[in-house]
Formats: sequence, structure tokens, C-alpha cells
Amino acid sequence: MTSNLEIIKLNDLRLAARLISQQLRQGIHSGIRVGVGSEFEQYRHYQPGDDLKRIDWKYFSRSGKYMIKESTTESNLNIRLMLDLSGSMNYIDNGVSRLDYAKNLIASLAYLGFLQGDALSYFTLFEGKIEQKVAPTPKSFQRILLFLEQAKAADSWPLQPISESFFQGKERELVIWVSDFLQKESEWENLIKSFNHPRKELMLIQILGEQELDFNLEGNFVFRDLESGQEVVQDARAMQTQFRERFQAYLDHLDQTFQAPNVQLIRVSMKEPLAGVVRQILNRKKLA
Amino acid sequence: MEWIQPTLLWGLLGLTIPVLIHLWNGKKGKVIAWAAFPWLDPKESQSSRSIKLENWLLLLIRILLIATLVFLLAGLIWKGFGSSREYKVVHLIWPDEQVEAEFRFELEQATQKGQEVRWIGTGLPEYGTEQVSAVDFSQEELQDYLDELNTDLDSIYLYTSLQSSFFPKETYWLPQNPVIRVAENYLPNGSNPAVSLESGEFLELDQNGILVKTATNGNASKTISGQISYAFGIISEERKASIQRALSAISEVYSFRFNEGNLNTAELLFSDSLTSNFDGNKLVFLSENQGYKISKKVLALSHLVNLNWEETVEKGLLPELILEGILANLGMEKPDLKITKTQLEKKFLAIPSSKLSKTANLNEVLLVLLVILFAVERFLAYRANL
Repeated sequence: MTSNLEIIKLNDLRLAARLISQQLRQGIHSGIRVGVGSEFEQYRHYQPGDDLKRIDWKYFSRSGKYMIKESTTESNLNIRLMLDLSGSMNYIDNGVSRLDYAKNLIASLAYLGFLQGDALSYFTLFEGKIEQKVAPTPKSFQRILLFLEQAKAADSWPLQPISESFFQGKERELVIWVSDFLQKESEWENLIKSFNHPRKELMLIQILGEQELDFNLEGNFVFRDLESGQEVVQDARAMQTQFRERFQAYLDHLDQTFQAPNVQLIRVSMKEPLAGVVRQILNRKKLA
Repeated sequence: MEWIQPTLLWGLLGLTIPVLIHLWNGKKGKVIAWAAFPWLDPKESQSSRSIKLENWLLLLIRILLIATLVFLLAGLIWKGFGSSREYKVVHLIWPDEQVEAEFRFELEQATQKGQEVRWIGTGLPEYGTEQVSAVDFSQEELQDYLDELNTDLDSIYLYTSLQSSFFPKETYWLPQNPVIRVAENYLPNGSNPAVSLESGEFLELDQNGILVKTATNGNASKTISGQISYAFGIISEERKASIQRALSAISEVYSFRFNEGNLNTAELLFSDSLTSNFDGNKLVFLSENQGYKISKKVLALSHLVNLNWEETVEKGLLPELILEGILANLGMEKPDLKITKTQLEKKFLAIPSSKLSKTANLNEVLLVLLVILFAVERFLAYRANL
């Protein structure tokens, strides 16, 4: 099993996505899920209970048999992938940058969506603006990879209020927002409200470093804020417990804020293998 | 500033310890790019400037702490310290009224200044209160008297005269080289003893110690009347003759008269060696002796190594030696000769300062300083949480 660091060091998102999805499907015989689709797969005999609409009447006229046309299921899910490009994404823990981790995660998810034929779109949050980089087109996977490779995180993140229209639309939609959610002042409540829609689901993937989750630095450090560039000199050991308490309180607060029917917050430590994270996301999503 | 144990000043190398610790601690921490910044406590974290200032203060105090400790151990003697410590002067006066009288003005001035004025010697009355002549004073114990002086004196004035008999020994040790004031007009006590002779003349020693005959003398202490009897013990004939010749020479020059008498009653006894029948009243001259003076009453006429009998006779020293013994027996000794001031000064040597046991006068101050510094250091260290 390849580690996160190895995957990220590859510096090839396409390969990384494939490796991760392979890890994900290890030992799984992908049985064909048969259902309604556009591409023909096979015929089978009609069985009582089957929808009459699905009987191939042309075939019946030829052979007098009730047969049902089957095809592999196609999901028609719209997936919006959102990547936070604020400065705090540049945080590096154990040699792995949060941004790289997020890029590989998104690439893997996009690959899986691409395999399923889902409509993929890609957004970035840069300098407080949400910007659509890739529209849902058949070639969007390649374009997403291209933009992911170019993406660079910088600057602060005073998120401008997300416009009401952003999440509107009737289609089923899965929004996967990869960030660290380390913005204290953001009004997450407003975001949650706009997601009060039965056909939409918001998955917030919070990627946190090991030191952020379990602060155990020792010695004198100069902490430089990734977003503002401010510096604070502190003895790490002296403030260990305090930092842990405060940060845990913030995480608890986030958990409470994101308690809404269609919203899920998945907290991920950067030492978790990417495949495991992807599996967790797939398992937790409610939209088929 | 002086040090009792200057070698301990190597301890000052210990000053590098807090500096090194400080440099080690102050080593600017690793810069960490930190995302979860708002959860750090900017209040608790001093700005780097203030943390530096406080650390410098702490460093300074720690350095001072170690320096104080080293100074305390090394024993700092700071002469300028303490107003109670004055310039200490002692005036030592030879216990003789003549000397005192000559320097009375200076001594009174010194007393007015509050300086110590005393006679040389222990158990002597304080200066100015009593006459000194009553007290017994032994020249043999001079060094003991001088040893009783305090060691922390700044200068010693010695009032004395140049008589050679005042300081019989070769050297005297003092905490300091004394400044010697010489009583120029000192006259030795009592005039020289004189011997009146039968002829009506007097024998006395003049200023230079030479025996002279004078016609008049007021204070002849002794009179030699009649003859001086002498006898021979066991002695060779040859020597006997030499002695008789010497005696006749003496009587010729100084009009002493000798006659050979009974061995028991004779005042002078000449013998080859010391015999058992030695009478305490006799003055015994030995022609052969082992080279030392046996007592005041037993004198040698030859010396085994330096001057043997033959030499004595050959050089004509025999009358001189005999007369010297007789005169000494009569109480006529050489007068008190004067020595020069330089000679007197050479007799006094300063005790090397390393032999003096010193006490550091700053110990209490340093101790208090140490405690204060330690308290401040602890306080700051606690505040800085170091």
C-alpha cells in the first residue's frame, strides 16, 4: 500500500487518482449493477413485478418473448468539487502539504466520478471569491486535473458571502468542499441555511495536520501565520494544553454548526491514507 | 581592591555559563508556518521584543549573581570601602623620657589627630598618663612587643635613638617598614664608670671606648686598692711566663699592680683548661679552650680555630685580652655606640603581606547582595516562566 507521501511525491494527479481508486477497489469484484441506462448491456426474461414499460416490445414482435432490456446503471449525479486555496492550505505536516493532500483527494474523487460518468464541476475559493474553473462537460475530469495541478494557495480568506443563487438549481447535487475550515470568523450558519434542499448534499472535508489535532511540539518556536504573515514567539510546551483546549473547543463548535440534514463534516487527519478518506466519503454520502 | 584568594577568580569563567544558557535559549526558535494561528494565545506570548528585554535583564542578574559568588569566595578587600576604616597610624616610642621629650610636640599632635601613640612594649601605661620609667622593659622581648601590633596598619612611626644597644638583634619584623624618627640629642644614661687607681689617677673609657687615664673624675664607681692577686692553675711554664710578661705590661701602662697569690684567694686564675676547683669569685682565664666563652667568669685567651695560643702571644694580644676581661669584671664595658640611621632602618623588615592573615571586609555586603540578586533572579525567572 502506497503511503500518502509516496503518492503525493509522484506529483502526478492522474496516476495518484488511479492508484487510490485501485486501493479502494482492492478485493472488490465489481459486479455490474444493472439498471436503467442509455447503453444496452443484455436482455433478460420478464419476471412478474417488472415494470411493463421496460419490456422491449420490438423484440416481442420479432420473437414473441417478453424480454427486458438491461443496461449498466449510470449515475446522473452532479458533483461539485470545491477546493479552498487560502494561505492556510499551505500548512505542511510531516512533509505533506495540506494543499497536496487536498489535490490528491479531489483528483481521486474526480476520477471515481469520471468512471461513473457523473457530471463534474470544479470550483476554487481564492481571495475570498468562489470561482468556477471547470464546468460540467464530458471532458471535465481532464480539465479538473489540469487546474488542480496549477492551483496554488495563497492569501487570506475573508470569505465573501456566498450568493444565494450559488446552490440553487433543481438537479441532484453533491458538493464536496475540501478545506481546513480554520477561519474563525466565517459565518458558517448562513451557508448551512442555503443548503436546506432535499436533493442537495454538502460534504465538508476538513483536513487537519497532526500538530493541529494533537499539539505536541516542544521548545521555542516562531509561529508565522500562513495567511497574515504575523509572527508570534512562544514556548510550545508552555502553551500545549491551552492550545489543545482552545482548538478542541473550536472543533466542537464547528461540529455543532454543521449539524444539518444534508450537511456532513468529515474531519480528516493528514496521516490517514487517502484511499481510506475517499472510502469514508463514499460511504457517508447519501445521494446515490 | 585586593583579593585574598586571587586564584579563585578563575571562577569568573563561570560567567560564561548563563551567557551560554541564554544564547542556547534565546536561539530563535524554529519558524513554523502555522495555520491554526488564531488559537495561539497572542496575549500570553510576549512580543519578541519584550521577551528579549526581560531575558537580557535576567541574564545580567545571573551574571552578577555568579560574579558576586566568586567575589565572595575570592575574598574582596576594598580599601576604600567603609568610612569606619581610617588611615591607621601608630606611633611607637622607645620607653625613655629623653626620646619622648624630644618628640613631645609631634606626639601631641598625633594624639590630637586621634592616632595611636604608645610605648613599645606590653603592659605599658598609656602615653601621656604616666611616667614610663617605672615599668620594666626587656630588650630581649622587643620582637614580642612588635608582634602585638595590628597587621592592618598603614604606617608605623618609630621614635628612638641611634644607640646600638637599643635594638641588639640583627632583624626585627614589623607589619610595615617603620618610619624612624631619631632623637638626635639623646644622651645615654649615666656616665662611664671609672676606676680610681692608687696613684690618684682614674681609668675610664672615653667616647670611643678607649681606656684612658685621667687626672680627675667625679664619679669613680670603683677603687682598686692594693694589688690584684693572681694564681696559676695547671699550666705549662712557657705559658706562665707569657702571662706574667703580659701582666707586667699592663701594670706598666695602666698602673695596675699584680702579685701572684694563693690559688684559693687569688682573684685571677690562669689555667690551661678548666679544672674542677673553680671558685665562683675568681676570674678564670683559659689558655686552651674549645673555642667558646663558657661564662662571664671564664674567659678564653686562645681560640681553637681562629686564634691559637701561639698566635695570641706572637701578635701581642695577650695583655689586651687579659685587660679586657679584668675591665669587664670591674663593670667597665664599652660605651653605647651609636649606629647610623640606615643601619637602624636595615634592622626592620616588613612581614611579607602574603604571611598576613587578611579578612575580606566586603563579605557582609556581598552576602546581602547575593541574597538580593538571587531573589530578583528567581522572581524574574518565575515571571518569564523559564
